[in-house]
Amino acid sequence: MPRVEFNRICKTYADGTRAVVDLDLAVADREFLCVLGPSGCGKSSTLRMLAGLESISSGDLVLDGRRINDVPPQARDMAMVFENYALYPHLRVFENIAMPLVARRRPRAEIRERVQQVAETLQIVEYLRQRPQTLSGGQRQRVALGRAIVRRPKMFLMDEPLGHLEAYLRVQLRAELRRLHERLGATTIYITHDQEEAEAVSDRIAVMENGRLQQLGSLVDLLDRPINRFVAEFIGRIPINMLPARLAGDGQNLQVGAAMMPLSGAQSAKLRSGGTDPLTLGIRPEHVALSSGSAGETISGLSGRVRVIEPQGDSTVIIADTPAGRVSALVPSGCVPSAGEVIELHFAMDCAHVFGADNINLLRAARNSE
Amino acid sequence: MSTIVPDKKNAVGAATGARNLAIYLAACLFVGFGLFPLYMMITTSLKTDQQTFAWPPVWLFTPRFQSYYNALFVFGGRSADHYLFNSLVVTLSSSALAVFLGAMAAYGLARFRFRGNRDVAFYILSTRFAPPVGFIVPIYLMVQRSGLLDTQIALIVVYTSMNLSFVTWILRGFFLEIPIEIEEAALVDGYTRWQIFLRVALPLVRPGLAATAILSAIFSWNEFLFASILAPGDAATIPVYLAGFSASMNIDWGEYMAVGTMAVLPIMIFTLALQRHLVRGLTFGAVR
Amino acid sequence: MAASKRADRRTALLLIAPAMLVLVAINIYPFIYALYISLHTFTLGRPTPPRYIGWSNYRDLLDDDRFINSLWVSFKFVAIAAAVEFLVGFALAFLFSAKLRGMATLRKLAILPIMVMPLASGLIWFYIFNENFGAMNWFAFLLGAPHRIPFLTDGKLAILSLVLADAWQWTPFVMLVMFAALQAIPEYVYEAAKMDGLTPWQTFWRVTLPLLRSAIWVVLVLRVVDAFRMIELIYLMTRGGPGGATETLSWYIYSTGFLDQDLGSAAAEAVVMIIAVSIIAQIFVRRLNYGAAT
Repeated sequence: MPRVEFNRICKTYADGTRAVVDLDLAVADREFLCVLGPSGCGKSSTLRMLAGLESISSGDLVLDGRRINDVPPQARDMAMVFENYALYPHLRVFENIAMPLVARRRPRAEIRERVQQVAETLQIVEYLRQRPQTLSGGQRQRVALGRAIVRRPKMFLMDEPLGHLEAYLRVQLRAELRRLHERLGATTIYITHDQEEAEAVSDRIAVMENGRLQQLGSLVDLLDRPINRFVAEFIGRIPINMLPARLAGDGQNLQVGAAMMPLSGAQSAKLRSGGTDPLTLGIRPEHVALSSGSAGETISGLSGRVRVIEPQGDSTVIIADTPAGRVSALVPSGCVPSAGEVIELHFAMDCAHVFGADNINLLRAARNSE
Repeated sequence: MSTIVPDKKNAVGAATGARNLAIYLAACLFVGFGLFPLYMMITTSLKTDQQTFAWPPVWLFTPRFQSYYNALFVFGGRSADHYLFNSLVVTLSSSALAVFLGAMAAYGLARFRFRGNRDVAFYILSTRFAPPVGFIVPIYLMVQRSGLLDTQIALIVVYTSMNLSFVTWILRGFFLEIPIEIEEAALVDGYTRWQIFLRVALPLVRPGLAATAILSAIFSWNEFLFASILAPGDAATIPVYLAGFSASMNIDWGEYMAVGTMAVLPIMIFTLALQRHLVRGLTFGAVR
Repeated sequence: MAASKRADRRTALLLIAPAMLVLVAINIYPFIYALYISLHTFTLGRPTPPRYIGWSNYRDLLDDDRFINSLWVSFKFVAIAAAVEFLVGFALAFLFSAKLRGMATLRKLAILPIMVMPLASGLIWFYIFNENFGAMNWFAFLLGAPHRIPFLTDGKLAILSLVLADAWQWTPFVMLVMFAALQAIPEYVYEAAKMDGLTPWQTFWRVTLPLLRSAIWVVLVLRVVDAFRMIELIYLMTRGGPGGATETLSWYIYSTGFLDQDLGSAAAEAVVMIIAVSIIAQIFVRRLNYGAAT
């Protein structure tokens, strides 16, 4: 049985903004689910409805088989970690962490012991007597985490908990979060706009946009089988190439500019049945290969002139102008052309996505059936 | 009980209709209590003597403006407009002086480090607490010695000094909030310190200048104690004139209230505009 | 560098000097002058020059029943007025924080009395409390009072009438300041409290109240100091009467100096008052200092 179910949940604010639209989502017990999306996509509203901090406009929110739409946050037994930490500015670290236990009127000795234990886990024992204002961002976030885990809640809700931290701290803390989750095993819903972070901590990722759930799956799913153009463009370390295309007359090739890209049988079948011009070819820079070739003999490649070279350590991003538009390619740093050089770009078509006029990925189903 | 914690409107378990109604009722009751005396003042200024002394009190009547006419044009000697004008002169001069001198001092305290900076700042703040009645005797003698009794100059100087404490303190807060980089850029551009103060810093704290000017004006306009002692005659301000009524045996309530209304309403209407910075001004920036 | 530092110091001096000059003239010098006068016999309008009499003006204060009485009356008035204004204003701040339509307008109307000239509010309340035709007696009559109530001429009632008039003007001030302080508490603190499972009552005592602490101090000290020096209401409503029942220290100084024309004694009383107020003011300044540090 899933721990939490969102059944057709909607959130409409007083000013008419539709923050969440018809959300259906089930979170399994002990799962670590990430909600990923750009700012304003409704992910925070989703989390805050789950927490009970926002009312639910319509739909059912079910926790352990019980509808909890109208249960106040105090009674939901969920702990939340806020993006801005939300520590009590007038209390010391110890008192901040102790607050959930104080609220439940635990005996003083027990509070002391449990706070101490949590502080040891999070390595913040030495700050227990300090006030939050004197701590660094990373330390504050540990305190906020401590406050969340000290009472062993049913669920953890984390709203961009690492959003305000420096890059190296985020990497360090997200690993700790994952370890913590493996140890405590509590169901966790984690909001972020950082896909690397989502991948590092979570079991599954839910991508949201415009208040709607777009796709649910692992990062590999999202990368290789994006359901639509938004997911394809939003996911991926380097932005995906999007080129206008149309199905060639023979139905076996995709025409991009002047170049003909050969399609597999399944691909062409899928395109022929559902394809409506104009189409868009989506191909990740990782799936574009180069050959410095003579212009003219285009078979499955597109020729272009190198405009920008962005070294990224052991690989390099090449951006080239082609007749069909700008294309970027990720190549090993050993074989980089020079700027201005004319090169030939080869697309690994078995990794390509083709989007119809309604932005749906027409090839996704085809690949699934393979 | 649930009003103890301000509820977000759309939070789970937020306000119910009955609770809202109770809140409205209580708020309206308090507002009514606040407005009732003002209502009494204005209506009495529009009543005839018979209506004023009537028992039970008259609540509905045809207003007449005779009292205002009397206060402004009929009375023997000086009439209300003379004292209103005195008040205006004293208020404008002392507010302008206080804000300008206060802004200078505030800038000096906010932007320059020197020994005793904090002590000077806190001294200036502490003068807000000086009980006027404790200073009235020596100041009266000083003014008398210098031959300035019953002049506007005496009042202007005293009010300027009394306003300086909060003007300086509030503006110091405003100046501290200006990013220092803006002024450093001006310094690099070749402005002198004085030019930076006048052309860069002052315009940036305009809201602070407005707030302190209005608070100074309220204070100077409303001040009674010093006015009654230092300028009891020709230079008297409107509160002193108003106080004069209560000394006579047969109080003319209509005219009394008419003068009261003319003394109260201008500054009140004026002040409604400053809402935004009122609290910061009233508490020396301790609460925003 | 050193030269520019010196130039900076000179600029700072020039900026601060005019204000300091005014304050020295109207604050420091008069205080020293008051000390000086308090050591002399000094009678207003009499041609005889002041005569040095040492501390006897102060010694006389200890035997002066009116002075002792005025301290007690001041204490009573300040304690009752500040307590009433604070408690009611504090409660109203929560009431007016309700996020309901029209609340902002009601709030603006509620704070109007703050701006009223204190002398004029004395005038209005003098009228309302009038024994023969005042509205207050009419309300009392409606509530079933058997006879006219002497609001301003009965010793016990007179001070309470003054408190009511003072509270009318300054409760909105407390409300306004506490309201602003409440608004300054970030929403997330309340959300954290909810997630931590605190009941509204626990949230109030453990979160809201501690966060309002410095605002509470500020508003209390301002109310205490300002109630202590209040003089306009007394001037218009009771003139210290009946029988000294409303003769506060402020009023006593005023009447000693300018009604009895005994400036020497008035100055001694004034010095006592200034020192008393300075002690209270110190608390305030420390609080502000503390507020600035955190």
